[in-house]
Amino acid sequence: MSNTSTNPENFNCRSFIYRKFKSSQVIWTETNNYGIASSITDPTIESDYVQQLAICDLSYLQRTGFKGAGACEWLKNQNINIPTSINHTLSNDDGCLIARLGINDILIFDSLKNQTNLPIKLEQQWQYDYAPGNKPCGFIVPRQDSHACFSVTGEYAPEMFAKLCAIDLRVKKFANNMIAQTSLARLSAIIIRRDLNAFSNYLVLVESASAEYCWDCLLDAMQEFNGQIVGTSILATFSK
Amino acid sequence: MKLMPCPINGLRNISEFICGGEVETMPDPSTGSDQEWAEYLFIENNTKGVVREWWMHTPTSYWFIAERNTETEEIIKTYPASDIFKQRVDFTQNKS
Repeated sequence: MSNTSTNPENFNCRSFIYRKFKSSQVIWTETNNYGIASSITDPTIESDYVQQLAICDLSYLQRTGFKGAGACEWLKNQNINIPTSINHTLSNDDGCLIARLGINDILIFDSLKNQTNLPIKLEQQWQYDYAPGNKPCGFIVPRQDSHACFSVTGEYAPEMFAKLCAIDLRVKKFANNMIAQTSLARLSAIIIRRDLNAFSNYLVLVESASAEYCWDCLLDAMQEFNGQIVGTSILATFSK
Repeated sequence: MKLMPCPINGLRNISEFICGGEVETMPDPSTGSDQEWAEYLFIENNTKGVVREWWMHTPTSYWFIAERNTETEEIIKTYPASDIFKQRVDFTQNKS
């Protein structure tokens, strides 16, 4: 972390939805040239929001994907823990999140707490290993610019999702570390339950071109439960 | 809302799927006539009764095969395409 600013346009890279943050109270922090809404209001208040119902823009979070024949095998050789079942996630040893979307379709997030740059490192290694004569290692599926990533947190999150999504995301039906690839507000979305400490947390990935629409839909659905926007810092605090 | 079981993702609303048409046998890439290719690509049988079709689960872009009754709208079963297509098609050009 280095520079902070109250104007996101001071940074080279910004989230797909940065224009949605209107409050002058938002603190923008720079990571890898990326302006992140790290704090929206007082951390103590944000802490309460997170436990009730809150949304956070995690589009900055490094992520990438690998797909196709040989992808899983190649990732295992890179010391990546691969979930044994499709539509499940697990944590890598360094805190990165590994999600298995298909038999040979893996999505990797950097750690929320400690930036490891694992997705970038894997992409670089893949470009080195992908060569005629080498063992097949699938192909890269870039997820950083193609998808927006939001985190919806708190006790009322499943009830809120019920207004937008046909899948039953209640905690007793949709266990921690499960993935639903489904429609959310009529958009194709990947929903990952990834609890933070004791409360429910859902990562939502949607096509970046629809990011503002999805953000607005989620905020609209959250109003009923007094859902609030929070910064990334508070989520990192609660992250394991 | 009608429901369809996706072989990977389970039971989902039919609005999450698109139909890709009937499953037909592809003409031989080397010897197939224009007539055979035209029928394969563009002509649908429009069968009344049980048909075998390509379907895709849009959020995952996963193509699979469904057997359904066009008369009763019942979905009989769905399964991965690999259950039928077990060999890779070789498209090497016939130079003869």
